[in-house]
Amino acid sequence: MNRILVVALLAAASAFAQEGPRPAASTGAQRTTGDSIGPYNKQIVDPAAADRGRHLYAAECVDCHGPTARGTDNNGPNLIRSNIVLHDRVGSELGPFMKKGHPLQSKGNSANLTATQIVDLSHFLKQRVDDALKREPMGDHINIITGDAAAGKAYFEGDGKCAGCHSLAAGAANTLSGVGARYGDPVNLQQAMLFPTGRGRGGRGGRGPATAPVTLTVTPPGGQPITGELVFLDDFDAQLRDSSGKLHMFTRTPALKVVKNDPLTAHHELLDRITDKNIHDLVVYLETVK
Amino acid sequence: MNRLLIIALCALALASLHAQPPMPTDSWPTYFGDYSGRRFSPLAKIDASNVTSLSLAWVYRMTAQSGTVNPPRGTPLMSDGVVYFSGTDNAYAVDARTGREIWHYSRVSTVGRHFSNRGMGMDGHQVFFETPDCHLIALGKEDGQVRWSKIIADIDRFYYCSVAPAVIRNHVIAGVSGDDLDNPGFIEAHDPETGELQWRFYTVPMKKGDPGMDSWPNEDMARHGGGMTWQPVTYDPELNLIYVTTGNPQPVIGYANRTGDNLYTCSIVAVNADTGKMVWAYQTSPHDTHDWDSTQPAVLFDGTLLDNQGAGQPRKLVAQAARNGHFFVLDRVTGKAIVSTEYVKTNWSLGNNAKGQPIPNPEKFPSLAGTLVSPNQGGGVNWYPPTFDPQTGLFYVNANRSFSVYYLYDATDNPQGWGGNDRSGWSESMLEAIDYRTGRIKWSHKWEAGNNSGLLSTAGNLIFTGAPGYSIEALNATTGDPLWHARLPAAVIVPPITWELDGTQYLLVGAGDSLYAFAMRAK
Repeated sequence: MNRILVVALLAAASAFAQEGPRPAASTGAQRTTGDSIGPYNKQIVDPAAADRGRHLYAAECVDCHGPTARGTDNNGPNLIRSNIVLHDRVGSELGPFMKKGHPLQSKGNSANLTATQIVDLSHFLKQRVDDALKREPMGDHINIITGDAAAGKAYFEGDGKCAGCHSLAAGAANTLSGVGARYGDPVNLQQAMLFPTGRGRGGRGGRGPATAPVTLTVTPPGGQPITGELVFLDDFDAQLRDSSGKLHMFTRTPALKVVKNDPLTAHHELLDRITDKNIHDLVVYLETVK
Repeated sequence: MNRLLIIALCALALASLHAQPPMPTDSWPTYFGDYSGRRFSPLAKIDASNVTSLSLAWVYRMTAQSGTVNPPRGTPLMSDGVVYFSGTDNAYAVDARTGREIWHYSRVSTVGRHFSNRGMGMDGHQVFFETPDCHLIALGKEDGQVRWSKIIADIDRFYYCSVAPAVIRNHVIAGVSGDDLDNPGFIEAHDPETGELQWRFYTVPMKKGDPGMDSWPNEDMARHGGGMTWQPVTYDPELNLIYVTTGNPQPVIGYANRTGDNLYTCSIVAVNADTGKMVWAYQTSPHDTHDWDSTQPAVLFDGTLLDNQGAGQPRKLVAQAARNGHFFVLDRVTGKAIVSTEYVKTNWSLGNNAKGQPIPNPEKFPSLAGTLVSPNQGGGVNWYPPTFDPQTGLFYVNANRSFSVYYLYDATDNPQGWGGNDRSGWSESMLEAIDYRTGRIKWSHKWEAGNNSGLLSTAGNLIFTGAPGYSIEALNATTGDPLWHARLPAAVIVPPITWELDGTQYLLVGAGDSLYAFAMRAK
């Protein structure tokens, strides 16, 4: 692999790792709390040690094992799948392995690596393992600005029917005035556009203004309809709070008419129609609405 | 058609559906109640006419040796008047009549993901369960004392262990969980008396020449290809076949380095119970890129099919509502598909191939700028088990219709682990009753909020399920009409089971850190 490219990838890997969310720095294996990915006593990466380890890795290991330690065709095994690395805790396995002698780029003797160097290398490699995990820090760097603003505007005003509810004018109902500056990372704007309630699995998106609540209209037998914000609804009970703040509670019966009104129905229905190109175009267009 | 002929055909169909061994009524000896995965009880003392008379019999609150109880997601077992169940690092035996604790076994796993525990297996004198640090443990049913303990997977490779073992002949079948790093899935059999390993079956090819190797770009990717086995197996004693359902391929979202179908991930695999050798496999999600493992239960039943499916003779069938939103009915002798349809509307496939497998649409693979996909990562259904009622001939599943956006984080040609994820989403939940002969939805009961609960069907023409509002709810199995509910302090996570003792039919569910037993005492 081109050496300049290797150095660039190493730097990128390090940058990803440093900019992403990180647990508190530590120099050792610790028992984490609650449910977490991987063994409870996994090594908590010390970023400073990992950074020192990165320099050592670049000098002694990268030619064979590659910039992300995932191996190369140059007879270098994938280290993040290595049992030695995965079983290691701050050098507990890596140290004895290096003591036995392992080829280094400098042609030096791996047995002469210091204990500190081994620990630094261990942190660097554990950081590469963490990069592969579900919540890897690379996930904070998504480029979603790939669409066409003009096409997004056309969809907004045309087939998307967005303009039927939303205006770009300041002060208008459901205004999107300034929406391009509202969410920070464009991926959060994309999420808010598709899923305004922001609920659901994996949600890390930014939040926009509170959406209008779901309402219920309940008509008791022979009575007048009562409308208010949905408080509770299932197969047996219905509860709403009216505009005066009064809570209304009903037992559902065949004679009790219950109608749920979701102001975001148009957004939900859009999910069946909108294409990925429409989405990417819309995001670029809305990003221009500062 | 002649009316007498119709009645005769109906009787024949019903007889064929009952050809499998009847489910026990005085016990619940496996995760599914029997080997079939149907979660159907022939008990009918609770029925549509009296279900509103169910009364609370007892509550058992779980404790842990240290920390808080991680609510279990398994299904309790019951035999000889004792309920056995497990949580992470804990196992319990409770009097089925009173809820009185008989014993509580506790150990603290020093390592391992404490995500959940999905239940136990049992034989005549032992119960078996897995721990987060991947020990398979046998406890005496009488005293809760450890008989043996074996390590089944390496937690430093990010495996963890939670699945309910199954006891089949003289084998304890254990599976493994964990898709954070790229490892091979497997199931293995242990001697019930000694714990010694009898055989191990890898769900992906491990060496040159293994079946399925040509569905991977190289041996290294195949050996690290995933296919975890985190749901209990089902079993046909006549065929002596275990039906293993397998997880997603690795890397999970990044796919650039695993061109091909990636066998035998996302598959139903028939394995000989005594040898651990694969007999056939059917992949329900070729080349999955959305974390849609197909570990949902493989439900076994015998049924009579329509004319164009070779009607006339009862067939041995296996059905699955897969996480990818598709419903499959296969011949469980041959593994050939008979029915393959969507049970929720999806947007990711280009239709079915000649084998009935959905063809993934490359345009719906995860992308850097985001791909809108339905269902979301949670799937059309997840871990919570369905039920099949041989009386109605309907397959019931709590389904989700959902959307999310899948992002590729690692755009290199060699992603590892995950390499992406989905984010946020919208969903709606419904209980669906599916005609197994056509895959058509006979009825669908829409929930007012999200609902992820396992199911139980009974000969009382009832479906029991957890429901929104922290309820346990009964619905009419024929019509889907809600009939009864009871509100609990937390959402129902432990799926309902039932048994009869001393002439009383009980219903047991778990919510939060407690078990709740209801009884039909009305005469």
